[in-house]
Amino acid sequence: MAEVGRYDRLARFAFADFRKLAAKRVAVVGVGGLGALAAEILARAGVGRLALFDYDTLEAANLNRLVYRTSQLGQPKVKALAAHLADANPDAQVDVYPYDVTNGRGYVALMGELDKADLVLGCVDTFAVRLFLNAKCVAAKKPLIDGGANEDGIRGSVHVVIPGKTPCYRCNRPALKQEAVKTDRRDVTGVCAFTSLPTTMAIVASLQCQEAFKVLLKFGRVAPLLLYNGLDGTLERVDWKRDPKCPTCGRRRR
Amino acid sequence: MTPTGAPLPRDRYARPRQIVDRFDVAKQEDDLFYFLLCATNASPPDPRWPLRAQEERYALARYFEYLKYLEKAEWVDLAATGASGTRWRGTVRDGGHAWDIEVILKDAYPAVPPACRIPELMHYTDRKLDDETLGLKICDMHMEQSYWWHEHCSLALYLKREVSYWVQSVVKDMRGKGWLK
Repeated sequence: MAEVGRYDRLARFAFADFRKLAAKRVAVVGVGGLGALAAEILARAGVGRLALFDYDTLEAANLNRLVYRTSQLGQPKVKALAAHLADANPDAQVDVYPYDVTNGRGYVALMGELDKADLVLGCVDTFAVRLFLNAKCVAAKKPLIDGGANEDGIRGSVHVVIPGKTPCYRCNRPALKQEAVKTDRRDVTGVCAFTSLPTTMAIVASLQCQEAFKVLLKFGRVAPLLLYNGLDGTLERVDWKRDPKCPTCGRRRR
Repeated sequence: MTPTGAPLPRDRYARPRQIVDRFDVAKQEDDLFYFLLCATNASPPDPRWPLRAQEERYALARYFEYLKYLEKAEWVDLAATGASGTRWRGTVRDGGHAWDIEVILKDAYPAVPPACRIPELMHYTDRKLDDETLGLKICDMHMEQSYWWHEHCSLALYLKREVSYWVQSVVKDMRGKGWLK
């Protein structure tokens, strides 16, 4: 019986050559519910080098989602994930940065990584940091694929920002407006208080990686915005346009 | 000044009116708002940061003047702890009580808002970020409706729009529960 290699099933993929992923470098910013799973998918698919950014440590509240284990509680998330990835696919080289990307060493590391990376995966939980990543990726002309799940835990979205081609995260903001913000929530722990379902996280992370493969291997039609609604079981592709006056990416920005 | 002695370049459109016109939310603001904007979009590692820091100080000075002479309620005072103007310490006051406040302008500032910490009141908020600072609500893109920060907003505007309301609402709630006289 012929020996079956790790990437044998990927090599049979008709639309692109997955072997090219070995030469690619991807930065994953935020390795919570989305980022950890996305990093695992990328590593298993054969991405050569991954840079993981997250300053958080693993808490019990993170364990309802995938990848992390109870025995890893208290460890920095990036280190716990790196250990997992080393076992999942030893071919993937993983750089870990347990720092805040908006300040100090994390900022410097992110700027350095932006020069080298082929793609950035945004899996953060803060709107301000999404905008920050978007601005830096547009300035560095690096593709950004941002994923997010809604506060209800059953809906999510994926933005694909290819600077100069697709709308950036800041373009057309009002188009995304949904229902009113609920402010009756009280969080005393410092941990994100919204619900988070492993199913939605897995779907959004998978969509992010699917788009990442399309961008990295140049096949298929990249979807600028994907909206997933688990309540209705729908996945909507939104072909929105760039805003020429967008303060971040517009041609007529001032 | 640059090492060659030439003045640092300002952004092309440095007039507040032109900055304001780019952001719909800004048009609803009062006259003070125009003094609380910064023209230079530069972060602390940027060589143009001294210009931005200067504009931040100017905006803060205008805001403190406004509080002193027009509002007649100096609920906050802040002073930079170093020459770079990235760390600020001071006091917030409400109803005869005072609490320490610390504000850090991170390297990503002004792409991200200031990181503000009021240690004695921080246990009391739903607006706490993972790094234990006060934030413009956590989590996801649905927050865009209440997200108002952009690169030309100053630390003074953050105090006016975010911290002042937050302190007031916390103090009101603490009074209602009898935790504060």
